[in-house]
Amino acid sequence: MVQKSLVLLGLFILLALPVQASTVKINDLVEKAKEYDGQTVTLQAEAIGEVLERGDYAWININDKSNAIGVYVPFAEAKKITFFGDYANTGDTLVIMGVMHNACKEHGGELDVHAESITILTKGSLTPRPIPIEKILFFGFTALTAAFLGLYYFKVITPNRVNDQTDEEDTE
Amino acid sequence: MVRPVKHPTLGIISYYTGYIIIGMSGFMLLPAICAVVFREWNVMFDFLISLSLSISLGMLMVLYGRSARLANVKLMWKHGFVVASLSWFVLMFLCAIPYMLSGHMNSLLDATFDVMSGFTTTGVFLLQDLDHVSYGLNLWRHMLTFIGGQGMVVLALSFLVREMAGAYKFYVGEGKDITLVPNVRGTTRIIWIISMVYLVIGTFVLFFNGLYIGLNPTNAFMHGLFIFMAGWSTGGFAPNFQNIMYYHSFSYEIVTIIFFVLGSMNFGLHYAIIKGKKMEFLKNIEMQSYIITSFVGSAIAVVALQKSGLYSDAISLFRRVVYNIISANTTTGFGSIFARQFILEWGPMGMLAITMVMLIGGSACSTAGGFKGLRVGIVVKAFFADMRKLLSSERRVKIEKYHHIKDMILDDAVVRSASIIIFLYIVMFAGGTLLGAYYGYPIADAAFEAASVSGNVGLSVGITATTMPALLKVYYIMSMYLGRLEFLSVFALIGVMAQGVKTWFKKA
Repeated sequence: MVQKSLVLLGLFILLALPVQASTVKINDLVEKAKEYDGQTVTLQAEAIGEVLERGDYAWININDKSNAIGVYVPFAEAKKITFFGDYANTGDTLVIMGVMHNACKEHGGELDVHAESITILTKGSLTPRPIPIEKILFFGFTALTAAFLGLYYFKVITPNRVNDQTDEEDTE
Repeated sequence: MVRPVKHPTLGIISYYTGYIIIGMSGFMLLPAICAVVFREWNVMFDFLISLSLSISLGMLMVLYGRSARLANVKLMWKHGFVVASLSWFVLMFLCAIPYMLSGHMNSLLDATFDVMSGFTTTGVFLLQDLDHVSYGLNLWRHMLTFIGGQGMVVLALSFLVREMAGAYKFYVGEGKDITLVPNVRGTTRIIWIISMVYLVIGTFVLFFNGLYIGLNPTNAFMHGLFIFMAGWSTGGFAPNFQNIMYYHSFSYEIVTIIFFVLGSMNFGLHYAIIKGKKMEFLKNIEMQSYIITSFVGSAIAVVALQKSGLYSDAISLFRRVVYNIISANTTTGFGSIFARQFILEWGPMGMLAITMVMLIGGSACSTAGGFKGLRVGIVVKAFFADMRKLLSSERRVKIEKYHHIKDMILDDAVVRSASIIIFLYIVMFAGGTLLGAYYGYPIADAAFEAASVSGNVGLSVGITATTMPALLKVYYIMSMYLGRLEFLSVFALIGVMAQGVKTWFKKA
């Protein structure tokens, strides 16, 4: 059992190390864009939004908490992504190896990454959003206060509705 | 029998401010409904709590001020100004409640910063993890900028107060002065009808464009709505962190340019064109000023960027340079490049060009900020008129005119008023630049950010972050507030508050 665990751990380290060693933060890509221009880079980030299909290719947007960037990938590769990050979901964590372009000629000068393949490092999931009981209770309190105040307000306001002057004088 | 009123000024201000708060609170129902549609139950509670709290405060303020209204306390100019500025100030806190409850803000100061940025159609934000924000909160962010752009004070009062005397004072207090029809209520309605017609057209154009570029139908519609609201109001918010770069689409960028340029135009100009005066578009001093500043700004930035060799073709130059200049000049703030690229790649000449157009801004009585094309046009025209006077015979008297909806005389009072506002903007911009530099930011970065907040633009080079000093956040909030309300209303509020404190001290 211990041996098995050690083998698995070793495999994990072997698989993870190359990715960890060469992973670039998106913000570093932007800050050192001239340096990385035309270079193959590896990014590790969450897929966000959705696939934007463009024929045989597609755009996916990724965010690694330092910044977000568009990645141009073959559509078949983009289809592998199961979860995209939004309010309801945490997106798949992707490892993307691709060529960085400081001002991509194909895409109107965009700073982007063209990738041939993507790897899903961690599958995303639905984001649980439980409603705290305190929030419900607080809502009950504020709603009741507003309702009582509203009743009093309409009791006072309606019978004595202010008869304002006309706004003839308005255009001064 | 009318009872004597103890604090008439406070009462009348409280009465109208209360109504504005009630009106704006009512809008919280829309994101609450949106949250129900998308099953965002937490968000629904956030908005219902905010609605209950805000509406309660609004009702209390109306009840407090009712005696002053019943006593027919005359509404003066200072009241109009104070009501406009105070409403914005109080609503900045109330509208920040859903932000705070969402868990996306680091502090109340950050939340109020984002609300003020929305109201003033600026577009910078401190909200965290935007890519995971709910539809409900995103709708609220974009609604704030849409409503703020058209003018929420008169809108709320038009709907809630039946026969509204002195509405013009509130209208001017909120930084607008054009009258399209003889009464303010009618003018407000026309402004809102124009905006709503464009809202429907714009949302559908962006919806179909969204489908074409690969968005799913729900997102195509919601993003279309959000981007239209942000574009038309020259706000520059977007539902995703990458702003307009999220879509990777030239066609989407072109559509946004059309709508934010339209949004930056004076409502008077829209109305004149609707009424058949099509030539007004070319004759209007604001449009002439805008076309010249956009063209000159774009030309300088294009030359600067071409010199650097970064963009080699016309499409790239248009999408990454001209787009940002037009966005800055209309004070929209949609960005088609990364914030840091301005600093790293635009160079001093490009930065100067974009800073200048941000300060100049769009049209008066539009959703845009900045000095306004009208004022720049007036000052430039006055300068050339003076030069001509200097060179011509002393016996020759010529009345100078400028065209803004109709021919107007370029007298000293008009020039002085335009110059004062421009001067105040420059002082505010200089203050922001100095404060940024004091905190250790490079002077070019500090100037860019100060111009962006003073002109209600929303582009950022990265200074606006939740980690920036609190005093700088407060200064930026004040800059956005003063810039949007064009100083007078806020000065009136400070004056009335000072007067109140003085009286209180005397009594004590």
